[in-house]
Amino acid sequence: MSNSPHINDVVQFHRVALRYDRGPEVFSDVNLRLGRGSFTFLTGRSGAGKSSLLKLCYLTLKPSRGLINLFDHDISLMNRQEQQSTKHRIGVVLQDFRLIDHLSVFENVALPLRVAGQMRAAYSQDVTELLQWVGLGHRMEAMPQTLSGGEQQRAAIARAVIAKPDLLIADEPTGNVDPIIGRRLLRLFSEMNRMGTTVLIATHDTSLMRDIQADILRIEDGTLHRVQGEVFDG
Amino acid sequence: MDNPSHIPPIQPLLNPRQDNTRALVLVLGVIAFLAALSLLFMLSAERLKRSWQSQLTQSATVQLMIETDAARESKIESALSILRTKLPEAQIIQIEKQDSDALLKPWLGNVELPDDLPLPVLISIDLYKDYSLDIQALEDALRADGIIAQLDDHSRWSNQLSRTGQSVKAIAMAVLLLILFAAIAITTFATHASLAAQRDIIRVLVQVGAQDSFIARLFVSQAAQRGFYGALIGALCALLVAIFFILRRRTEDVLLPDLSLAWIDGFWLLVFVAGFTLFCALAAYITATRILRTERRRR
Repeated sequence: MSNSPHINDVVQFHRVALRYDRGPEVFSDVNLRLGRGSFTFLTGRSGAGKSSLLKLCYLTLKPSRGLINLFDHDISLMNRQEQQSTKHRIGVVLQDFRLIDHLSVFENVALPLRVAGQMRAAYSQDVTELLQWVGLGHRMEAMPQTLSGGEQQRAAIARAVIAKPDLLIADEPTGNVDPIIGRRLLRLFSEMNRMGTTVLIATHDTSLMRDIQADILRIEDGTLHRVQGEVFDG
Repeated sequence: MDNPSHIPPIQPLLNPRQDNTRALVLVLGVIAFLAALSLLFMLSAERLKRSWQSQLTQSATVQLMIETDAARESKIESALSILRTKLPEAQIIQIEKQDSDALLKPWLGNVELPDDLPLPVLISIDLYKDYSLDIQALEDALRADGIIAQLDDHSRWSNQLSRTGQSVKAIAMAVLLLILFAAIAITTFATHASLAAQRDIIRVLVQVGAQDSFIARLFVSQAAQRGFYGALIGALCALLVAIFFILRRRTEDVLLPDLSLAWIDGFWLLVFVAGFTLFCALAAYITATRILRTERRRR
């Protein structure tokens, strides 16, 4: 992989390493490029570092060393405001969903738009339509604790995509849903990708990977390997 | 299925169940009550001081030293005439003997005063307008007519009253500030606790790109709301207590300060409620931004 910056790259890792406190490196010298509008699966066994790599992408962790560029900006040079503005451009679906308990499904999904300062009247229709699309139209006013695991997952996905992010990062997004809903969600990701969103999904689900034409990266023994496609150079 | 056109009502982003709002409003209410009471006391004491000072500065007392009984009446008449000529804008009357004797009772007790006791004749001067007395000129005019007189314009009492009034005002102000500092401390502590209790929510807000200022605003609005309700409750209670004391003072001769309420006090209470709310909001803003900044550095 070339070390020169690629203007069209949404995510660039250059010799990135990560360690927690004084522990061993979770991974080292990882090089990664996700081009604008690409669709990538990240796979690997449990504990291989998939979630850690995703956290570096959505700015929850900082690398122990190496360089990370997001949207052509070096994250180590970003101030807090710039980091938060960058996060506006990233939709994240986590394994633990992180829905806010005292907010209804509607409010949880509308959260990124509300934080961005949009008026309620402007986004209500979009939120309602998206909830119907993910099959939660009838649970808009339900509280998260009354939802099943699959419903919570769909609400989390709806929240991640509602602001039409430039980069969508999902950690096991179909882990708690049945295959039909899983495929429907994958179609949603695919549709977003078709509209220009760069998608990075960490998953164990090989059937998911078969359903869609995408680059596949495997993280193994602290290094990143390309399984197919041209994204990886490690 | 829900009606798609139905928009659910907007919900507060911070969990209202996690910050003991009622208990905090109650505590702030008690604090605000004490502060509002101090404020009303300060305003009333200031009014009382002004009223007493005004009474003192618009009056004076003349003591005529008359040695012989023979010239007594003519000297009194002469003195009254001179004073009335010099002070046409004043009510000048001789204080009756029984009234001037009564003035001695606090010092001498309930004893019969002998008739030949050489007490000075007292003349009271009440100015109709805010007019400054030239004591020396009046004494000179009386002396020119052979009358030995001593004029007291009560400035000694007025100055003492002014000093006492200033002290009372300063103490009430200090109490008010102390109580406001307590409110700030409570709000700071509550914001601290609230930030800790709502940590998960803040984590999600940060994840979806909320700036520190956005998160801080949530806590500011929460604290301002608590402060407003606390101040309102406190101010209303203080007003009711003040009304109760004033009515009690009017209906019964009890040992209570002669305090009063004026319409302007209502304005000051509104200023107090606004100020109290602002103090709480400011304390929350400073605390929230400081903690968020510290958290960010830690990350």
